[in-house]
Amino acid sequence: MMKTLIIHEMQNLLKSKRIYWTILLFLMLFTSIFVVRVVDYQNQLNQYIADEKDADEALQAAKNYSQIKQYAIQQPLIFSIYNQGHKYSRAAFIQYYEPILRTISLNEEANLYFNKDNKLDITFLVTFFLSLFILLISYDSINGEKQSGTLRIMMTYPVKRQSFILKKILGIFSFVALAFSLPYLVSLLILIIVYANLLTTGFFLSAFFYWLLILLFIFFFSLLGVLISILTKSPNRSLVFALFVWLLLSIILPITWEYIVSPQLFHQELNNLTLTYEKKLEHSKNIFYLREVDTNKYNVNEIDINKVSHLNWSNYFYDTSVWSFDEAYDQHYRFMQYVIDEYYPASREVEQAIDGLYRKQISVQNYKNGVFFFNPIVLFENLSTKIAGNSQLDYLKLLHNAREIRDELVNRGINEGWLKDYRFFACYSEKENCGTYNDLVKRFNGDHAKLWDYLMARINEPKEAFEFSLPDLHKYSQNQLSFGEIFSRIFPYLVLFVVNIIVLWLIIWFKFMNYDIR
Amino acid sequence: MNSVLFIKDLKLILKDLKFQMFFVILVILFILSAISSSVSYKNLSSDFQADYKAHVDMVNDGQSTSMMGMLTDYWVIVAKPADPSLLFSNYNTYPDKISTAISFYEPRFFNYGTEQGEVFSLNWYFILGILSGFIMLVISFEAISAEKRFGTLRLLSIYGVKRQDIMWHKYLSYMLLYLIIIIPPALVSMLLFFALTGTWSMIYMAKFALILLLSIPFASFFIVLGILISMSKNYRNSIVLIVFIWLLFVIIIPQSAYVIARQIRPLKTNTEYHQEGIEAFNNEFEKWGEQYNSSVYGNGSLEDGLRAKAVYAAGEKKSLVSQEELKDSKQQTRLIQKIASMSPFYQLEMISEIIFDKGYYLLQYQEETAKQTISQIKNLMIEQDSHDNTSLHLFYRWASADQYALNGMLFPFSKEKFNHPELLFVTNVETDKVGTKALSIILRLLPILLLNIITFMLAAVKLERLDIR
Repeated sequence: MMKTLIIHEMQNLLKSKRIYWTILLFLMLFTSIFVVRVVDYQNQLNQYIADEKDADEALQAAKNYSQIKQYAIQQPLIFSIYNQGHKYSRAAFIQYYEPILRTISLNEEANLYFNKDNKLDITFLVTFFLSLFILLISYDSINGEKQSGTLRIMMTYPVKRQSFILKKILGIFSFVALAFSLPYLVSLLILIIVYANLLTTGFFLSAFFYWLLILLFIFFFSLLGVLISILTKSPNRSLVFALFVWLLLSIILPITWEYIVSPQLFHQELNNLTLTYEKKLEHSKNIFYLREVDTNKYNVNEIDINKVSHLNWSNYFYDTSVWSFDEAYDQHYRFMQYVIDEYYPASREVEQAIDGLYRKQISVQNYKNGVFFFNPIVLFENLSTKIAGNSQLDYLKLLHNAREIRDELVNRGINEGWLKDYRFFACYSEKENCGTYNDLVKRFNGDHAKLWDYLMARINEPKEAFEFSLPDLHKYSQNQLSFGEIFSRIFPYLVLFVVNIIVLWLIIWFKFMNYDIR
Repeated sequence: MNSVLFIKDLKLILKDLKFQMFFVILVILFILSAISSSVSYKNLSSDFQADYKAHVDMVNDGQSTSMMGMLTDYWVIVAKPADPSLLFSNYNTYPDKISTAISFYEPRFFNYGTEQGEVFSLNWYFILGILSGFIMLVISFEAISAEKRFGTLRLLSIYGVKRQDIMWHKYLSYMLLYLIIIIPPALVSMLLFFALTGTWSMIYMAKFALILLLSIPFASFFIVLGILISMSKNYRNSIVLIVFIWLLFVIIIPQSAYVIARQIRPLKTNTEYHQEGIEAFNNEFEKWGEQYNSSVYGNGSLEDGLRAKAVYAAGEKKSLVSQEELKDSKQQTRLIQKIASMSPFYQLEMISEIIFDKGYYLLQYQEETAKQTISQIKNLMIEQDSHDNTSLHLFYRWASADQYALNGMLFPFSKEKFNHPELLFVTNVETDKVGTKALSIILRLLPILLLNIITFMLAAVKLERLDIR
């Protein structure tokens, strides 16, 4: 019985021109957005591969301990094709310059301030366009039939009101669900074929939950459309009403939140957190560049990094082939001791400040979900990011993982001693020391050209000068979402979603039982 | 007779529930946009003030406005203070501040509180450029069909009213309606904004009035479209198509322009440009080193100034990379604008840039000003330096870097202060004259006017042939 009713309703829908327009437009939009996102993903992937290669090469080419740079490069998520999520500049990659001292990398700062990019993804298509299309299909589902008189005729047959309304709702729902699922499945199939070797269980889990959520979304809007159609007398009026509701849910409420409520509630706090972060960053830089030194503990002249040598700075980082003489070695040792004691703690505070900022931003997002519990557009936007695994929370996780790897390396440097000792210097080795500058000049009888050649040779082939082998490094491993993790993330909002649907359903039920079909 | 028709139309519309509903929305949005813009005005003003204060501190400090300090540390800033145009649109197309090193033209951009990334923002552009079209469409899609349904169209033709007249009156009454729902709340919004920020300015009031006036053809297009589809048999079906046209023109084309342009002309990251700049510097410096051997390296010899010249030449190569960065991002923006201009509605934003002097339009003049100011400062410095007998070579940027090497020796560079610190922070940027601006605005209005005329003619022809029974 049910099956025939649904099929009948779907056949009914297909008779209207409006449906063809809607489906055609939806498919066009879906295809174009999908293609744009795939191209974007491919670019990100290429960037990622290049970054990985660069990182490996740099590591292999390291000639002394200062040149060991550990990277935590996150592979771009395939699912970002559907949901862009929290975007990082340049393929989500974190560099850090420790033991080369720079904690917050340029990329991290860039991600904090400039990661905003306009969103045009399948999630946007669903929240913005699909919701409109469902309403445009369903706004006259009941009162249209009433106007044409078919509702009255229908009721003369032994059809219960319950099964009639069920047929209407399920018909619209299954129609839209089918119209969405087909291109969605085809696109998934394309991805499976093209990126077969990159797929993980996480991707399939995300795809599954995403699909489930979209079905709920479609169901909600089908109910809403039917409800509007019951509440208003003429189809013309319900069309206006549907457009009004859509405008309210998809544009006006979020915009009012973004520009009025949220700034009033959180702007000050977020600003303060940003200021704290900036202040701490400034403080840590001041410590590093010896602008704020505790003069009781340290003699600035003795730890001045500029007195190490001319060749120790490269692109603002203390990480190049360092050659130098006895004087510089002592200087370097004292400087590194100072860095370990003073700069590292300060830089860890900077990281905590940045984490605090991110956590606050995440909690603001959750707060928004709580406020807009009745608005499926806001809920869906947020939940899809959580499902895809590219939310701010995931970014925070990436940061933590990266820092863990770095900390491990730094701790080894401290424990094994190479972070501050001569192993940075091409001129120092167990076998042969260069000695002081005057020693060298004497050795080459004052011939500066020969002295220069000698030093350059030691920089270029330091392995002959001293034993350097790359230590075994802990590699960054990609974070994978599990079924339980996704489920626990979205569970409370999923309950909200379902409660919303049940409430709408009850209202429709109650209204339609007392509906005047004349 | 004509006036009777006109008043009848207007009264009918005013009684309509959907009109009242959308009017309330517009009033609320206009007021909210005034409030939110005034908040961001205050934030941006304080950012600007902080910048200015930092500049004044630098000048008072004296260290960085010494002739040598100017070359090594000082950057000329060309900035635009926050102004009431925020009420119309956020700063979202281009940076509002350029700073460039004095010894080279090495531009860097900064934005005061950008609002990139949001598809919609709460301001007049959202209301006038995006929402009003939608609202006019929803209000006018029953224009003819309702008359037909009630039989009044037939009645009118019996009275001998020409169909062209009916069309005109419908159109004019909707246009008047547009003015009724837009102008009073817009005025309230404007006054509220001025009252909240305390910046009463006649010029900006005139500019806001002008932009309200210029928004008319954009709304008019959707009115005519609404009238056109209200004549089709199944007009409720046609509305799907029309809503899609609205989406396409107002949202899809402008939004995808960003995505497409970023794919076609991708920008490198700041780090990469930075890296390239350093490479360019090193390559040039090595060339000098090969040519003149060790007098370029190390501390060189101060007398022949070879090392200084090498550093200066290498610095110029580096600044070329910065200019490359600027060129790339400008090209990307121009491509975005070109693609987005396929939608005539994007032109409203471009027109607002011309009227309010902001965004990409302003950037070109800012850049020109920055270049001129730098050459002016250089000339003034050279002139001032020529009176100083102790100074060796002013434009050798490396000198300060080697200050350490010269410790204990006599510092041979001018320690005088630069006499014109007011040139270092520029806010006054001259743009086109009124006549030129008007011409370019009219050119940008042409596509939408053309669209209006075509749709109007289509609607008129359709009405002429309409079966009114």
